[in-house]
Amino acid sequence: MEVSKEDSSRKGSLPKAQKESRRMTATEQKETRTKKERGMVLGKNTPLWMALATTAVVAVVGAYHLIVCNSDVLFMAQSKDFFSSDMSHLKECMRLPGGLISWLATFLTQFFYHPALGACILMVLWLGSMWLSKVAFKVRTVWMAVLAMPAFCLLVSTIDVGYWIYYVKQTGYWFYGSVGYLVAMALVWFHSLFKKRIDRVITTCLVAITYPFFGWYTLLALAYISVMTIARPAQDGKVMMRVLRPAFPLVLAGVMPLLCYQLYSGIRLEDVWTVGFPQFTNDTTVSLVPAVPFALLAIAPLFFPFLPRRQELRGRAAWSAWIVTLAIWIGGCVWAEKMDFQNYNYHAEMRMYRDADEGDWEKVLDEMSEIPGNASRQMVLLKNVALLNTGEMGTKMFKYNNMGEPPTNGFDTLHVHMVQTVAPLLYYYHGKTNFTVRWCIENSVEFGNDYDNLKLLARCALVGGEMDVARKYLTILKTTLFYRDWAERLWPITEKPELIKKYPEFDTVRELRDHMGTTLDGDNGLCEMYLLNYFSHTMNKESKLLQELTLNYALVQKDIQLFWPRFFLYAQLHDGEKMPVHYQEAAKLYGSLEPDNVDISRMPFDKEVNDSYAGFQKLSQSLLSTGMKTEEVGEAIKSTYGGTFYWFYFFCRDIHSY
Amino acid sequence: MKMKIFFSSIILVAIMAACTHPAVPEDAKKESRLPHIYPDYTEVTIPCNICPLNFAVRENASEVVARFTFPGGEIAYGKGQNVLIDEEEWKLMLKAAKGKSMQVEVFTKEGERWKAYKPFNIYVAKDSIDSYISYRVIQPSYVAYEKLSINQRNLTNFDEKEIYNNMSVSTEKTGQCINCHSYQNFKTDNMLFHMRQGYGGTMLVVNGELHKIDLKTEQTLSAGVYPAWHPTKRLIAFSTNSTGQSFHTKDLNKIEVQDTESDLILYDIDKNEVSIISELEDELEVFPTWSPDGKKLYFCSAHFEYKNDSIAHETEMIQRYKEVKYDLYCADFNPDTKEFSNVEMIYNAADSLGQSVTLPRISPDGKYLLFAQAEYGCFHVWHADADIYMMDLKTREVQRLDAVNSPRSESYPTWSSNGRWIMVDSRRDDGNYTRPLLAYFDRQGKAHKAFAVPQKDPNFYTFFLRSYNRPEFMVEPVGITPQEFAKKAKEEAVKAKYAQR
Repeated sequence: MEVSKEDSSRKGSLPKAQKESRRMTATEQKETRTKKERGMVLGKNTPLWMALATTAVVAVVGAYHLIVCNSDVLFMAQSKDFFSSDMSHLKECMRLPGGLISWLATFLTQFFYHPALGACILMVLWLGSMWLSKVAFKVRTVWMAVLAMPAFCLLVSTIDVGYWIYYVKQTGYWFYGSVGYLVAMALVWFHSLFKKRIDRVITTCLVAITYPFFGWYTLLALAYISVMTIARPAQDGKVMMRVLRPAFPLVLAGVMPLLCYQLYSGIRLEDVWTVGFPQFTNDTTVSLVPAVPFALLAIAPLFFPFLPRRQELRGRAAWSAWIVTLAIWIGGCVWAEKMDFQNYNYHAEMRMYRDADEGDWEKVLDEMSEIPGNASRQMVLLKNVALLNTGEMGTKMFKYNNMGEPPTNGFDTLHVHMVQTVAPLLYYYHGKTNFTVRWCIENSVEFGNDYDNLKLLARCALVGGEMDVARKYLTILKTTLFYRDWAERLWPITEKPELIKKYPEFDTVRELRDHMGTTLDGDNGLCEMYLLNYFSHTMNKESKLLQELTLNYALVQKDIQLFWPRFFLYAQLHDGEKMPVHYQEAAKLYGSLEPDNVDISRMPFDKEVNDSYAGFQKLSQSLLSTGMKTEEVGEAIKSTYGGTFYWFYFFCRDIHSY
Repeated sequence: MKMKIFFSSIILVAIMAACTHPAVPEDAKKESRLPHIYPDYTEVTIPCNICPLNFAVRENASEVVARFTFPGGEIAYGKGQNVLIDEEEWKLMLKAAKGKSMQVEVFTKEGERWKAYKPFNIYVAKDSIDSYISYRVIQPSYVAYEKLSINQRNLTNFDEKEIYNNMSVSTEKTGQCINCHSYQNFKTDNMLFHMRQGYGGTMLVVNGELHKIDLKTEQTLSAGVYPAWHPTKRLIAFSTNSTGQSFHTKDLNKIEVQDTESDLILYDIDKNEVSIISELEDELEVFPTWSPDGKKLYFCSAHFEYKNDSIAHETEMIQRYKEVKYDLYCADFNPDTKEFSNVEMIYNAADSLGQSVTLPRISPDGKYLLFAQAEYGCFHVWHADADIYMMDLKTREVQRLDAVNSPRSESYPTWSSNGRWIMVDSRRDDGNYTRPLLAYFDRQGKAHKAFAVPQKDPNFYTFFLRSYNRPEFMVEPVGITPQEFAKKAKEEAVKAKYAQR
């Protein structure tokens, strides 16, 4: 155990009388201790073991929540971020105070492409800042658990964002706090290296001028320096100095942003002190919950300088150290567990998005079939796209859950819009590349560039034959660490456009797009409604794929008038082929509901369909006659008939798109 | 003169000695074609005061060298695949080649072999260009507009600064969009830009003093949108527009921006009064611009009759968007009485050509009128067929300026203060992102090959994912800081009065 130089020098300078009096007090204290505190004494190495155990706890809890529980979130996080080695990216980051942190954070975020790797880097930063804060604040090793509180804050800030993942505007959010906190600790440590008054004034000023690079975290460092000065006042006794020393860093923290405001044209004056502190706001919602860890992260180190600095802990003090350590371990674990946003659909949506993006349709369908409750609408739509690509719309469309659980955070009223989540990808797979381009650009205006957008923009350009702009996007992606291969794989198409035929991943999109007419319209921000309306009102004889899509969307619309012409066209285009079961079910149902409209008596329905429909009618009628409500009947027969079109028609209701 | 050249040469040699320049390959294999360079600066005519024309060589090469030969010397540059020219050396090169040309030979190293491409010339005009341009920096125009700024660029070097940044005022639902900016006679002590929504209003600088005005009155359609400062009076002509946006499902033009209604208004700065210039029924008047003497107002107008009362005008406009075609008009203006008279169609593009004319701009000598023309509509930045045309105002003959056009969209033409330079917005690079291009306009009325505004990093435009909208020349930088604009923007706008004409 070490005694700080500051303490020993202070002891050495005490007057003789005072020393004696202190010796007496020490003797008295010793006696008192022998009487009252005969309990536990922390062994020589115990604090070190406690510190190592704390490090291990942070690492294990972090690894569990990041890698085991949130790999899909981390992957999505990097895909919604962007780093380029091009200088223009650094310049763009530096347009705001704290730009260097943004730049570093975006650099590090890309490692979430391999979630475990990114998580490890993140944890190294946390553990590094823990140990650095110990040195910076000269905290005894035994209190390492207290120093771990910011690490728990940073962990929670990574796993509690929920659907804000699609709305966070802070560039490099995922590493911003971790890099920033590490920087703040480094600045405090740098300041603590100097003892002389004039040196400390100079280093405080040096810390202050890092504001353009570190923004909010420079201000925090100044606040910590101020608190350190309060906690360990100099012994010169002058009251004025005791006030001025802590006040000086605070004055700099207040003034520096104001001075720098003239350097920045893209920031509001009222934001200069908080730039870098993430805000979870959009047009309709201001959420405080995800900001809490950042507030605690900022506050916690203010107490570090006040932690007991006694070399040896005995009895009650030793117990206190253990209790505090255990409380922080347990509290941190419980807090992380409680705040980890473990909504099933939230995670499944991300996995499905990735699978769909990679064209792994079987995985999309597997994910959909494993959902324990109701899917969200975007999952249903991704499932439809998967079935379109596997050619199973007619046989499996209604065998999955088609309800629509609205995506919510639970802890706030954030209203999630599909155009900001999956719509660009959905439009792309529906051949609506112009709409993909639109929403990629709209979202990049609001939330910045990201790899997902650039990939989609490149694909749309390739499909649309816009090779020059495709080259532009691919060139940008080629400068990235993890999307270079992706871009290089597609690059040959820009040189020989006809090569696109050799890339099967474009087949469906190209066929839909090529056979689609061009009109002038808009989606009013409602992707699903637009797709349903557009495709259910389209007729196409040239493309079997597009025609089948229109038939299916007519089914989803539950519109009999739209159904029949598309059904007959399907039969015509698939002459001699077996009619898929859902189309038979729809024909059977609609023919029965409106017998005057189309005569189905001579249609060659499968025996299974005939039997199933008869059974469905009989059972549902009998249950309804018992006085059961429609919803109750639906639930009662779901296990038997839930995979049929008629069940969808009667019982899949009140679906709200978003 | 000889002494000047002598001293210039000495300075040049001294600077060359201080810098490292690559050796020019001796035994390069000759190619009969020009090299692929980006931006394309082959055979262009440039101002004698422009910044270095750095370029990237887009050949399959590991190293490149470009030798610039000019009267009195030669210098070679090359760094990787880029040719980055020292700014001080470039100034001396321009000085030496003023009124003449410099020859550029490009060498590329492929494997172990060097290739020498057909040399090209860069002609250095005796005419200088206005030192500054300004433009709106925005993602290709869609609905969202949060990150949006008006920037000014010094053309004699690479300095770029923001005049005003949207993020400095507000965001989200209280945010606003910046519309067009305009200067009186290329100077910035009388200038304006308009913002809509949020803290909307017209930011008006009069004699260097900043004001915020609300130009919307009960009698007018909207606040001022497309502005034009009167060259001598404290008057500004604006269009007022009811604008909507819709989206092509497949067409590569992607977007249509349409006015369902539009009129022209005149704002009298001294009286803070708005009066209507033209609000004819079935006419969509827009894009006012003054003649240099201030005695004529040119504008565009489309005749469009709504036929279907059962649907909203917006819907009908979307359905019939290809029928909206603008002609070019001119009205006499008496600056003393502020009266307009003798409205005359001077270019019938719609009926006779099936075309639509937008964005007219008159040369400072009053002889020529530039405009953008495409098949239909008013927002040619999204129309791939849009090209720049020029009318000789004396003969009223119109010609397409092939030297500045490309197979992709060209729009927003404008003149430099000396009339020797044209600037246009072009999407020639990729069809989606607009870039400002400059072109020399000689004394015989001929436009020369257009070239991109140079950037320090020649690959800058490739990596830059925003567009440059409405580029304008300025003879001086804007004196008001972005922070001052932001402060004023948050204040309540002074309401303009309506005056019956």
